[in-house]
Amino acid sequence: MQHLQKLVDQIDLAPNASIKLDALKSYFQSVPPEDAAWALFFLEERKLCTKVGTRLLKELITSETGLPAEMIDGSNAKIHDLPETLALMLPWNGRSCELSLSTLIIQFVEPLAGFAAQAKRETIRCAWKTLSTPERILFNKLLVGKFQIGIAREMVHKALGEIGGISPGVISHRLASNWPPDAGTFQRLIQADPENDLAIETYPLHEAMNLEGRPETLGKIENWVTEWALRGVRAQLTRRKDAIALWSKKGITLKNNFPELLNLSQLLPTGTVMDGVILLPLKRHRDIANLPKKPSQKNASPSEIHAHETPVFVVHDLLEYQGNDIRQCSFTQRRTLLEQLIQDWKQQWLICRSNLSTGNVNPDCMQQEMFSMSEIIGMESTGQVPMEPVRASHQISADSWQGLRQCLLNGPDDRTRGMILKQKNASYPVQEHDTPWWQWKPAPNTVHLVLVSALRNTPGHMESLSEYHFGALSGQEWPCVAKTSIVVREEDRREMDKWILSNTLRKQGPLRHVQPQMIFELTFDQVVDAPRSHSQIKLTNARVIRHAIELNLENTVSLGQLLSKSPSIFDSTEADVRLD
Amino acid sequence: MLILSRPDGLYCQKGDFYIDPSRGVDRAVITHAHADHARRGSKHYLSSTASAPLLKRRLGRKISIQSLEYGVSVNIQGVKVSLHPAGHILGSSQVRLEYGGEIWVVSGDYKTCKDTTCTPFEPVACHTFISECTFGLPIFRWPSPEHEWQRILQWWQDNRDTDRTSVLKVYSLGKAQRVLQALKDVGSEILVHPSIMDLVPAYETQGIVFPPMQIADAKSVRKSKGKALVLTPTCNSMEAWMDEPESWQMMEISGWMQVRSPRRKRHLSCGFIVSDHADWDGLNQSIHATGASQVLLTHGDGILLMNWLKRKGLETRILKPDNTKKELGKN
Ligand SMILES: [Zn+2]
Ligand SMILES: [Zn+2]
Repeated sequence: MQHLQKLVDQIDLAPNASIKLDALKSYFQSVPPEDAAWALFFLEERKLCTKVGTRLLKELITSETGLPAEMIDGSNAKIHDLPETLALMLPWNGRSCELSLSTLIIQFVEPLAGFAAQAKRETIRCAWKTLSTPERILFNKLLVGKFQIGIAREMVHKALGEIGGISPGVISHRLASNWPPDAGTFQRLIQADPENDLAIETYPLHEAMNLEGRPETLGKIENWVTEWALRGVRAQLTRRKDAIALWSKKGITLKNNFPELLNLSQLLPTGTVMDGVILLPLKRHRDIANLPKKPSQKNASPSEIHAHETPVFVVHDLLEYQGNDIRQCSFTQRRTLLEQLIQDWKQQWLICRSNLSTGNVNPDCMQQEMFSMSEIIGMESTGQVPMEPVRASHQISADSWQGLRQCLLNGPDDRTRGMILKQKNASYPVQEHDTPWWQWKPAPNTVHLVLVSALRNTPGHMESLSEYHFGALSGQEWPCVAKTSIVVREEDRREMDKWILSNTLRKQGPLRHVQPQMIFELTFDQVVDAPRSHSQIKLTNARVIRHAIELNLENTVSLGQLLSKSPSIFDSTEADVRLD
Repeated sequence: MLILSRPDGLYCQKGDFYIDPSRGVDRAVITHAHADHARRGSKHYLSSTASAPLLKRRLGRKISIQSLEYGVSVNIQGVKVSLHPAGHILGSSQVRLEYGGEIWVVSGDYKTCKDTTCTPFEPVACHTFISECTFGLPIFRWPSPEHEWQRILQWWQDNRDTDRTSVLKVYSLGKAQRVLQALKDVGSEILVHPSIMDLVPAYETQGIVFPPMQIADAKSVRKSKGKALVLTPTCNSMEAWMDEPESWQMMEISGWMQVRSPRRKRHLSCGFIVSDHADWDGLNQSIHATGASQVLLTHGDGILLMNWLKRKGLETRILKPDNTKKELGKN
């Protein structure tokens, strides 16, 4: 346990990511594999069933310290972390526990679920006695299943990958299954398996660059293909040998987020890698009446969304065909292959469906044993198999740039953020001098909002503010809807800074709250859902255009107005998808 | 009521003097030299002997100040006034007032755990105890200072191993000297901000020994880059001295560092848990040790502590600067 505690300490103190990474690596390398496996289990945010609730822990603290429940709640109100509050209420103990993490878990945590209340109390009391105060904080977090210590999973994957000499993507892929936390698992996890690892190798995905000027500068429109820039989860699907994997842009496996997509991808031929965007289903019932209460995270859980509709993988490029890297081929060539591939796939899929619906399954169309019949049938029985869950991106046809411009003005719906322009004879952009994809965005929207707070730059630079937050009225409050550090006019920034520093109502760490009073004109691209923020929405790509000195508070836009403009889609970043 | 809470401080009407007034008054009794307790502008000051030189440094050479040894009393218009060690910083005092058989004690800031730079806290028997309660929550229970000194040494060593300068953000009066004193046997390449060095002589005249140290400035900090421990009350100076923010790491030393929960941490920097205030146990023990039948809490959000003391049968109230106006009206 003391090693894990030391790791948490080091992570706390680490000034930058590379030092955090080193700390993680040296932890995983220095502890026995069974301890590493358990630490990983919790870092992966998995929960152990202990059947220990916070009530039991509170009762225990009361009996240990004589502090009544109101004292516990009153203290917790200050730090908002019950496992920590409870641990701090016991007299300080600086002596570290000699037991290893796995021993501690086997002796004190795993058996809890089977114990009666009295035995649970005795066991926990006993564990507390052997642990130091910082270790008790961790232990309590393990008990109630909230082990958040400020380490991103990506970083954990990276550390393990570096230890094993394998890519973090492979680690993330291996961790996505339901593995038992034991020594063998951990050893296998960091062991390279060249043959199979190769099967899930990914390509770096290209991100379109913003087209700042006019598209006319790109030359003849005939040389270009135009597609919608879709909002959704950018993903890469790799289908090689037995392995089918779906990856986020950052190389995190999306296996558990889109199981049905993976199932359907069994019908693709092996040796296929595709680049595309997963469109998430529309969030149908946005409950405006409940605002601005935060929705529970459950509202956004993939399972509930899937009950309405399933996600669609819109493929916009083909990177590997029949086991060959085709990125050097021209876009036109790749596109032809892609269309053929999808056409074939669709055929298979249709056969599969019709066979399933009549109950006659032709095993020939199931290319792999991984193909799970029950899941396809299960979907069929609810009658909600979507049309074409995998499809090629739509191409916009226009004879002239002017015509395309018209499309951009009329065209974009809630699910797009402009257009992507790709040169027909260009290879898939990999290096800097490759012709990039260009993203052409519609002109931004304009809105008037009220300054509500600002973020101080770095500790020490008291005088400089780095980010400004703007709110829209909702009831008596001004929940923040836009954050930006871009202020177009330098004099506005100076004025704002001066005003904020001399009119700070309340400081919250680096945040300076001010009286909602100063009104600004901002531009933004879109209103998107932000289920975790107080306002539930946010304006993307906001910029401060000017101080709207002539307006008063009634002229600003309200949260309700923004909501009615808001496209009701579940616009998801990678972080949001990983809610599961 | 021997002491009233007025907008400008605790006031003893019988003796016509203030304790730690927030503005200049005719006669001020000062518990200790921290800026929120010792302010400029009073005609006459009274403080402990050990505090007087610090007050002169901070408030000016020319102030009229009378100093008292701990336990020695003076008579101010019939009120018997004496000062008693509070264990907070060098010279910090509790103020004991006695008039007509009634005894009040004002704690000032105090702590009960070990500090080799000042006289330890002594409970003083009284009827009414006005206690600070900065850390009046049961989650504040300090580790032993030795435990934290060890952590600091380990951190300094780790930083040296990775070629980073260690920076401790500390109050220039009290905390800084306490840290220096704790590191007196291991010190090498310790640099201190001039405002800390300024106050060192007052400690040395009390017989307190410090490790060898240099003034921190751009030159010395750059010269011992990657090895030194720098003590400074502000991080601005470090930013001015060192170009690469990666090349040094700053930590705070304070009781607040005990709380680690991520939500809290987002707003606080990391650090070591060494406080010059009493923790929950310290507050409770000290309050009970006075034998007081009435407790007034100040200097902190004392609601939980008040409820707790009431449960234990002690008549307790909160003395807040905010409601001082009302108090005044009542009396
Ligand atoms: Zn103080
Ligand atoms: Zn104070």
